[in-house]
Amino acid sequence: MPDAGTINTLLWSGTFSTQKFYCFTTAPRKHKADLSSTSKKLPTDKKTKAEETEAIVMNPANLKVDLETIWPDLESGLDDIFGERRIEQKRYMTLYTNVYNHCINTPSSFSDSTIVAPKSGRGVSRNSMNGYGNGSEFTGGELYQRLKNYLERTVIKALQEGKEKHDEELVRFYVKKWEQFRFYFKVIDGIFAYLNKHWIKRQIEDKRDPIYYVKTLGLVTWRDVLLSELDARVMQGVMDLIRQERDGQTIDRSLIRAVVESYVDLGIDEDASCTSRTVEKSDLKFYRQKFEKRFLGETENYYTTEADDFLQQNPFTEYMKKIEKRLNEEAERCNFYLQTSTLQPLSQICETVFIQRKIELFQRDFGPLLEQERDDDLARIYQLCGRIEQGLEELKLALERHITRQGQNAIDEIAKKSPNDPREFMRGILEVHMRYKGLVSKSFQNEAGFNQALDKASSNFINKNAITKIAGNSSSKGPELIARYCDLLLRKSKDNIGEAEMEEQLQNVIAVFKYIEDKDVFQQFYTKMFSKRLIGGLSASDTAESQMISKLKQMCGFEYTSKLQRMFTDTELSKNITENFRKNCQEKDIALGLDFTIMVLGYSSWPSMPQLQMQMPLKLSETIEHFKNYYNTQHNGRKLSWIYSQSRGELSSTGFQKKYGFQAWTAQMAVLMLYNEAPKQALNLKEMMLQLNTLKEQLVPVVGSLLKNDLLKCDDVAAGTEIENEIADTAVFTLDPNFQSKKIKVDLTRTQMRSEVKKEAEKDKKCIEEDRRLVIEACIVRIMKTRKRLAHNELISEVLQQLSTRFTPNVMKVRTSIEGLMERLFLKRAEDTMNVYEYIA
Amino acid sequence: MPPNAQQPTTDESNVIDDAKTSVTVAVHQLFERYANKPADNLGPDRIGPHGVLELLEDLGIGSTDRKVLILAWLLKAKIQCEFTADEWNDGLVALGVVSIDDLRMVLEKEERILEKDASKLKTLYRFTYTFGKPEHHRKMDCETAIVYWKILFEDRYALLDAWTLFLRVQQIDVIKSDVWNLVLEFFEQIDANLSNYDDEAAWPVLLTDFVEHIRKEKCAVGAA
Repeated sequence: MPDAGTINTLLWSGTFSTQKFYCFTTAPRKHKADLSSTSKKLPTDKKTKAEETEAIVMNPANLKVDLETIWPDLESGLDDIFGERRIEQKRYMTLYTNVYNHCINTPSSFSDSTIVAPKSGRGVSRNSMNGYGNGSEFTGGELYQRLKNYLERTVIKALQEGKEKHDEELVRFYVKKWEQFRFYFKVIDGIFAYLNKHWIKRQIEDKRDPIYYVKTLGLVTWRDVLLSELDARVMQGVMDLIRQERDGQTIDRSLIRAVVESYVDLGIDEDASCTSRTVEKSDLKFYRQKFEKRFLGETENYYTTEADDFLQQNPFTEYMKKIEKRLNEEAERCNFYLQTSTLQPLSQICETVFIQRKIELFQRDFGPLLEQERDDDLARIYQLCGRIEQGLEELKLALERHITRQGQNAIDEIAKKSPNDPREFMRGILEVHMRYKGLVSKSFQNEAGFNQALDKASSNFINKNAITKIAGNSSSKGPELIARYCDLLLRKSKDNIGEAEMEEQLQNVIAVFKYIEDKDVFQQFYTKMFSKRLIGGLSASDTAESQMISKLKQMCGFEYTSKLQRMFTDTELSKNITENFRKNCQEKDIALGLDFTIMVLGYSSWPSMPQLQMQMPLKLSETIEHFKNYYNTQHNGRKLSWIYSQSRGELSSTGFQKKYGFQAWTAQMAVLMLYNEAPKQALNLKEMMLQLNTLKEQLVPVVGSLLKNDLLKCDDVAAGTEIENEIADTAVFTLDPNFQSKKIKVDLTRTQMRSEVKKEAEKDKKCIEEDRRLVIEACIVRIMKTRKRLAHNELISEVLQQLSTRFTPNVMKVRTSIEGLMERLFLKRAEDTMNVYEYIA
Repeated sequence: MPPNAQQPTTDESNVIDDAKTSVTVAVHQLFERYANKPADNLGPDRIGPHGVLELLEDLGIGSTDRKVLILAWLLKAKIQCEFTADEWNDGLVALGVVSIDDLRMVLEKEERILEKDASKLKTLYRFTYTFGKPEHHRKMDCETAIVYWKILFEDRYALLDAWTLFLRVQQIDVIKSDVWNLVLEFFEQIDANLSNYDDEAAWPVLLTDFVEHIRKEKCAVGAA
């Protein structure tokens, strides 16, 4: 017998759980009133004598409550519940008390065990050994059994009814019955609260399965008796409904939701129900096995057929729109009447059916869509293929191939018309690059892999194309054209552009420059043209010049632009030097008799310039002497060497019909001024060479340029032909007194002195080779100095990586350099393995 | 009878010293036999080319025999066809050789060891480079190198002839020491059909070129 305290506690909580379903507002019986007051007064387990007696009054210990006495009443109560008849509070309490009295007062009897035991053979042996439950001071086994049988009978009745129904009708019936029964089970659970508390609880604690709490018992009975029979047909009904909905019909979605809920609720976790009173926390295993699996299978079949049918009748682009719609629908479906956890496998099935299994179609159509510039469809492909693993890899490759081809086609066209036009070259590159940069950002959301493909392709076609091919596969043609393009932008001309546009153009140049492999070649050309702009005062804007330098610096680092920067500074400083020299002359009262501007350029920063040995006209050489003296007082010990080849001046003439002014190179000036003194205004080459103290090969191009400008005449050179280097020393050149020009100011400097051009190009190439060798060696030594010991392959890849911002070195060249450094004892091979180098300190 | 035999009280070190002395004397006598040949005109403390030729005759080996190199190596000789008194005396004493017959036996034994001992071969091989080139030169000229490879390797490596031919066709002037060193590794490691040649490995460029050349030739033959 339990002590009174225990009874009290149980009683209180029992009442409490009943209140969940039926609200007591008045106390129908005396003991009930007491009970409520007890429950209010009893926040803890503390008991008073009075309460004990109250409880005992309600359950007189001596009262014999036989099962046979109460069962008929209980059964009729159950009938009322399942018969949808209203249960009054009073009646409910009677039923409740019946159970209570039976469970509390009937002393444990052996008959209980004999009723329950025969259920299973295992139970018999255990019962007979232990006597049915050591804790069987509590009665209830037989009541449980009777209740169980009752529930079974009732559910079977419902089952019989259901068997008659089909399809949607069946689903509807199932849902209705399910909702009713679920509620009834709860009510009965309340009435049988004492059975739960006492007998069932102990049985469960002793792990005597299969014994369930009353409500669970109801659910289990429903599941095992009814659903196990109707399952297939209910599911068929549900699947038909879903199919109808997918076909576009409107269906009663709440039906499906209710069925799904029933499958979820019936997921009774056998282990959990043993320990926990609540079955709210259901297990989705049942739902997954019985519902989800079937649903996913149906989905796969449905969409497999749909995909094939649709593709037969519609173009691929429509198919993609269809998929998008379907994927959204399914997500919404899942949200509305399925379990959230189903979304993931459901999406996966759809993706597999629609995308994975048709992936070759996506890959096949990606190229044509690129050709047709169908950006929206391309975005769709990206979105869809991005959903599956590795879905984008093929597309990236295809994009790379496509852009490379587009770029090469564009340049093919340009190569046919104007292979040497920097503007066209840049326009061609930019058009393609911008187009696909836009595409990648708009349709492919700037995904890293697609950007990489764009970069790779750009690098491919910018460095290797029809124009570089024409130039004998030279990797220097591209950098050269781009440097020339910069020159066109930055050089003073009549169609110079505004600051904002300039900025944009320079940004474009940098965008292309980024892809150039041989950045050192670009550097060389750029430096050269930059120096010409500075020396000639031809820059359109200093701001733009320094903008460009800082952009290059940003991309390639300080070292790359340090020379450019110094050249810029030298030019600025030269302005001061000129100014100071002038002042100095005024102070010392030296009359130069001409305007004199000087540029003093640092030897190491500027590109090499051709030397010209020539005696300067007297006026000029006097000024030069003055400047030398002045400069030496300012900077002791600096050696000045004069670059006449780059110097220019202005001459004014009085000997022709009009008074002309001539812009001329110093060499041209020197030759022209000889004619001031020349008898009959005629001189032969020999005489000129003697007077100018120069060599024939330096003189001939100068004379040639004057000839071209019609200032000089020569009988030995046919009109309109080039002067030859082998021309006789005795050839006579006369100043043409009839010289005429439309302009008053004649620019002679525009006529290139031909012989110089070829030589320079060859020198440039050698220069680059030599520079590279030094850069590679320096790089190897730098790496080895820090690493001390390094494997061959690591060294090579490190060198390639470090130099990649400047140019792409040939591996053979790197290896040759390594050998050279070993020969010169900077490095040695490790004694133990030939594949490792060591630094020699 | 030597004087110390009559004085048993003399300590052992003396005995050894005397033994040493006698060895030294014998070795030096041998040196005298070949040194200072009038035809060599090198002075009294050197064996010159003529002396060496005579020595080889006595030893019964030809002038292009590998044993000649082995001898120079064992005596740590600096210059071809010459031995200084120090080289000779120290070398022979260290080897424990007092007669021509001893020397012949030692050389034969060393040669047998070399066949099996790769690391010893490597030391001899590296010695050959410093020994074979003119004293103050950094590099060995190609023809000399070819001669030494023939002496050192004889028929040991199938690729040697192809290599020699390649060097001559390409008109290679000098063999750098790194190339020299790695040629041995190359012949030791790489199969005659080049199947295990690794393009990624740190072979000198000249050897890479050689491999390319052979492969191209093979292709040409295959195509024909």
